[in-house]
Amino acid sequence: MTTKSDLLKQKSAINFTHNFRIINLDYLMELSMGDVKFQKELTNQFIELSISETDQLNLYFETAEYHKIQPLAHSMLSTIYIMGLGPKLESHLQELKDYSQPDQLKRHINIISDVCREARVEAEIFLETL
Amino acid sequence: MNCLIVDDNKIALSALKHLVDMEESLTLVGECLNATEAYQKIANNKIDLLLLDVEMPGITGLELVDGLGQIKPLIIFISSKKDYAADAFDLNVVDFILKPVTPARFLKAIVKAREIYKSRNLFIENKKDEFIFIRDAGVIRRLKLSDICYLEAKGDYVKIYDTDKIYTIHSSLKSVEDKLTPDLFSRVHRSFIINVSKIDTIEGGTLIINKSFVPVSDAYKSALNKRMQIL
Repeated sequence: MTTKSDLLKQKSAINFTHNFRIINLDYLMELSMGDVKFQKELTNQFIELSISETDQLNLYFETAEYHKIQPLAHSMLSTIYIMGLGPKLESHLQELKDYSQPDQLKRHINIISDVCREARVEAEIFLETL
Repeated sequence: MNCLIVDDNKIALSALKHLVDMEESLTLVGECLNATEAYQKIANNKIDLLLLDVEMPGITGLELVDGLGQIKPLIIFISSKKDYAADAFDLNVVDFILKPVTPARFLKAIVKAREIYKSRNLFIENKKDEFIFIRDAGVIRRLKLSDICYLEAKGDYVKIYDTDKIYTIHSSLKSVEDKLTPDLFSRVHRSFIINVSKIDTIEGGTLIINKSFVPVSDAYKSALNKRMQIL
């Protein structure tokens, strides 16, 4: 399981920049209307929720509880939108919602997990700018 | 308007709460993570507006609304799947918003809800009076019952045909009928109530009132005939 300290270690290796490669903060900025406290709250929620949700995705796959993947993938859409990850992850989450063959799921779960992990690193950096 | 948010995702809940907090016309009464919790809140509180996710574990938002019956507040559905829009609008909801919800789209839905909310509280009536009050374009207007020619149901609205003007209110024909004096008004069709004193002529299944044609359905014909005491 990825921990917050793991993320902070990864973060130190990345140069600080506002031009994030993975996350897109346009929606958060529009929604917050300049409310920094809200930006912090939602970014923290994203970090925490995306860790638990991707961990759960992987767990459900490993334990072959495929029926639990569909509702989780649906809920994750709301999680990823806040960091502007829709264009990167929407299609993969949709694949999880519409899946027919379990063996096809793993590839999408891996992509979602990787993108969320990188997004969390950038989200941590963003938090430090607030 | 007292407002309740229902969404199983905590981030979606926080985002909606933020938007509600920014809107002066809304008072947040509660937040729920599932439909069962929401049902209890709706049953025990005065909720005017429900901001409701569609797809939730257990009971879905659509199922919740379907089961609300008489206590149904105004509903704005919020979903990441546009496929639910048709089913949602079948339940006579105010709006259907796709996630992620932007402030502009949210405001548009709230303006719509506010208008319906105002017209829902339309009648400040007294059955003994010879008039009713309706909310019309931001003002409360008194209408003399004797000036009303007929009323027509149009979806979630009722059109009131006055002698020289038409008013549209958000209500069901049944709830308007309950507020009209039965000695003056009579139901002639599933969608029409008429002022009997305004009938000019009757020909077959059609009434002419103030130069307009009003249908009379078979189910109401004999009651109307008795009511008119034709010589």
